[in-house]
Amino acid sequence: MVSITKPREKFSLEIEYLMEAEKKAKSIIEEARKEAEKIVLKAEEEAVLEEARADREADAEIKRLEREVESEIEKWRKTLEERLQESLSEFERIIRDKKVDAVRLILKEVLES
Amino acid sequence: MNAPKCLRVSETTESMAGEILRDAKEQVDEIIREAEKKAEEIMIKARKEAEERKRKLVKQGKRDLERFKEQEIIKMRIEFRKKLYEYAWSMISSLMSDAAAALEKVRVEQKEAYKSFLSRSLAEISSLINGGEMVIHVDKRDERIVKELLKSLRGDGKVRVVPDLTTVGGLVAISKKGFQEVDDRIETRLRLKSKVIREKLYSFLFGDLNVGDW
Repeated sequence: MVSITKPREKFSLEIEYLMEAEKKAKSIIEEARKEAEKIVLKAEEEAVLEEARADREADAEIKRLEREVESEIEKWRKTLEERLQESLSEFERIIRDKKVDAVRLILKEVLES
Repeated sequence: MNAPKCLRVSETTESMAGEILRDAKEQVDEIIREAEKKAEEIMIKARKEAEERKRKLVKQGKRDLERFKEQEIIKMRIEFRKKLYEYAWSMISSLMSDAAAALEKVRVEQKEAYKSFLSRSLAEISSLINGGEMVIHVDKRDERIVKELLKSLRGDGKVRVVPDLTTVGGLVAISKKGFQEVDDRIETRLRLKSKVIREKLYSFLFGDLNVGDW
């Protein structure tokens, strides 16, 4: 390397050169820190979204289960209604078959006991 | 680093500047790497917590729904059982009405049974009033038969029969001094025994059906 400057100027130049490098280094580190903050912030935002996603998915799953349960309840209602109708028919048949004896039983209870 | 053409820095200085920048880049890489690592940890933790949250919410939801289902089924069972009981008791009430109508005709249509009833009634009344003097109120239609029965019971001497009642059947006896009164009319018996009769009817008619198992 050939120097065409005076030593003092040369020294000053070199200091300036190094300071500029230092400044640039600080700048890119600063930028990196900002970038790092952004990365972490983004992750934190996504974490919040994850929680919301979990709530949405749980909500959807519960709604699906609700439909299942409603369907089961409806099946039960139909089954019980059928049983009720069968029982009512059975009652009617019993009354038809036993009506005379039932009235006789009442008369006996009133008149004889 | 661009130094003016006429002024150039030494290789050492250039090397030092390069070193500074390399260090800086290494720091940058480290900062970004750390940030990415932290971000990944945040996400792993968030996903884990989210899954756990979802699992808990669904578990709680399932439990609530299961409880809701059971309650609904119990409500339906109770509602249907109530309908069944109401129907059964309405049938029994209808039979009681039929029986009340039949009892109104018992004096005419079942003369022997009615006579036996009056006979038992008089015997019971006599024992209740301890053979003392009494007044027996009867329906005019029963006056003759009651007097006949009293003769056969040998208690007519102390008893006065007054035909001032309007009744389906039976009689009302009052001790002479009025301390004791026995109302043995058919409608009174029916009313007083109504609960027992209804229970007996239920048992007679539907006893084998186990409605309570609904």
